[in-house]
Amino acid sequence: MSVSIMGDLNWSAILMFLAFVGVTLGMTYVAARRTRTADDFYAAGGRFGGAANGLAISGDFMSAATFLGISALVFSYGFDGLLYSVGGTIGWPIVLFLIADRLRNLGRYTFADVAATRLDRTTMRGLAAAGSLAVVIPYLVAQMVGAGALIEVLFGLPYSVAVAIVGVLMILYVSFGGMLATTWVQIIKAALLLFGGVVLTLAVLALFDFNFNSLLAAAVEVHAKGDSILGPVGSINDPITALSLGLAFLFGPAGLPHILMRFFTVPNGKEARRSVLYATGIIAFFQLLVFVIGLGAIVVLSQHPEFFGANGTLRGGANMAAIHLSQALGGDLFLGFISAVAFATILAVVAGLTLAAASAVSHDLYSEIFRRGRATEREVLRLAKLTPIVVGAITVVLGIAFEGQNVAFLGLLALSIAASVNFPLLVLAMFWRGFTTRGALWGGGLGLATAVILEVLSPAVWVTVLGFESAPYPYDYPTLFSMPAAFLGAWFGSRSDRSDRARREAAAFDAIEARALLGDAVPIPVAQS
Amino acid sequence: MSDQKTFGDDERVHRLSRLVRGLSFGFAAVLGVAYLLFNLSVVYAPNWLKQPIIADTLISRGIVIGTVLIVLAVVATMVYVRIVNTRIEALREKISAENRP
Repeated sequence: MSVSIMGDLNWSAILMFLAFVGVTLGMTYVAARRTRTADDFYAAGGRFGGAANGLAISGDFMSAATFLGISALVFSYGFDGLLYSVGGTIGWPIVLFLIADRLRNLGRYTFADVAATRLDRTTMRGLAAAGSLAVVIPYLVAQMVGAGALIEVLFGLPYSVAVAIVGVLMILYVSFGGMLATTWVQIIKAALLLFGGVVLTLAVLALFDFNFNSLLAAAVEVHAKGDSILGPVGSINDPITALSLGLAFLFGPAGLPHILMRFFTVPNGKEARRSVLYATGIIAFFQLLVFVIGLGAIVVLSQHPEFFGANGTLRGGANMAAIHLSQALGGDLFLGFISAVAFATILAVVAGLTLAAASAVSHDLYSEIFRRGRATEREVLRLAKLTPIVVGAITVVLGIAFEGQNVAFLGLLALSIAASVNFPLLVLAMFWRGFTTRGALWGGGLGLATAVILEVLSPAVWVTVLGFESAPYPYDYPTLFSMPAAFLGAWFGSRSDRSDRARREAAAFDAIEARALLGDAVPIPVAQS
Repeated sequence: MSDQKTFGDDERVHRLSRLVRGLSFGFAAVLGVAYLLFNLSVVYAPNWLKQPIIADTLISRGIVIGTVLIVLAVVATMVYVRIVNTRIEALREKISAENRP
């Protein structure tokens, strides 16, 4: 058995993590007994309030990448890390302004419901399912590879064992407990993560008598880059990257399927808005904590040479900055707690993603396209419970296959596709009377193709993964081109569509708008097909 | 759907629709533009962002603007929810009550 970076098996972390698994599996058992209908499985029966759902949304979004990744960026570059904290926050108000209550009022289980109500059912379900899976699968694989590597260093478990444990647990949560268990797991994890973040931040600030300026001064003094960490150090240094990253952060969250399906777990539009209010507050607060944690790591770790390898880099990589900090400040017990929280975080995020993938497959593809909405409740539920096993197995295999690969681009790709495919389709279906099925096909297709092609031609894939000399598309993110491509394609496809179907689709818009605004007071319009 | 009241005939729903859209797109545009300008300032004015904003401290313009944007995101959601829950919701309730079968 391999050993953790701490020299041997990290027992306090393992015990705390086992406690988390025990509690969440118990909850899954309770949730499973309450999950009897498709409505329960996909949307927890619409019984959650805004505060609980907001906490769950923040749990879905605050991944190990937020906690460990952004604190690592602050540790390495200072201010540049803050750019990602701002980015990770800024998309949430957009979800509130453009998506939350409308989506709740127009859909049932997935965001595809919205587009399929007015436009051609088969086309829109297919497009939305493709968009969902194109976001969820890369996202899942990126999480899995990160999880395997992290658990290997934290717990001393072999990589493939770690990936398999994550896979089995996420299947159990989703398959048996559906949305109810997934939401509970998400809420506990969010609370644990917040608690750990607050304790770590207070411990850092206490070293400086709660004087932020003293913390900055100490960080500038010991950082290799000196006072340049107070401003941009060049990790974003051209306008195309700045705007592409900006658009992905602004509109990506509004196209993430696992986030969007959370809005169906609340009873009305008002609670949907409250969900985002809570989620934004929690996420913003956490992003600020992470900045302080990163700065604290700069100062504190500089006094602990044992955390650095022979070549002067952090043991386990820069992503371990927050973890090492917890050991330096709180000893082995706190290290165990933070490690267990990091593992729980990964587990909760992959469970949310798996549920979204399972919903796209069982609800959109099987129930609505393949069975044309005629499947019985029992059949749908059975398939909905089987799909997570398939999704989980695929993810574990891909996770093991990608061991040691640089998969950072997969996370970026997921957010870019969300902003370039799902977001345009959803927003146009909800706001634009003139949007037609042909426009959706052209827009969604063009957005997806542009995002994927540019990402493949970018340095992250073309050079790092495929090993070519230089990248034809020299930027990291495709969004500045792929998102406008989607909107242009949608506009052109819709405007040039003079079919009878296009006329019927426009005529049905009034009913959609009324339902979006008035909620359950008016019925969901009958789908065209 | 001819027997179903759609909002084609109801001027108040049109008004509600215009109000909500104005609010949604207005808020989104202000926040989106502010954020993208910040991202561009990172490319075009890195030295300006590095300067301290408070005398005798190291707290730079960049750190303050970034923090303000994070706080602004929260404040914008609070203001938006407040406006919708008071003004818009009242109008919505009125129309819904009449539409209920």
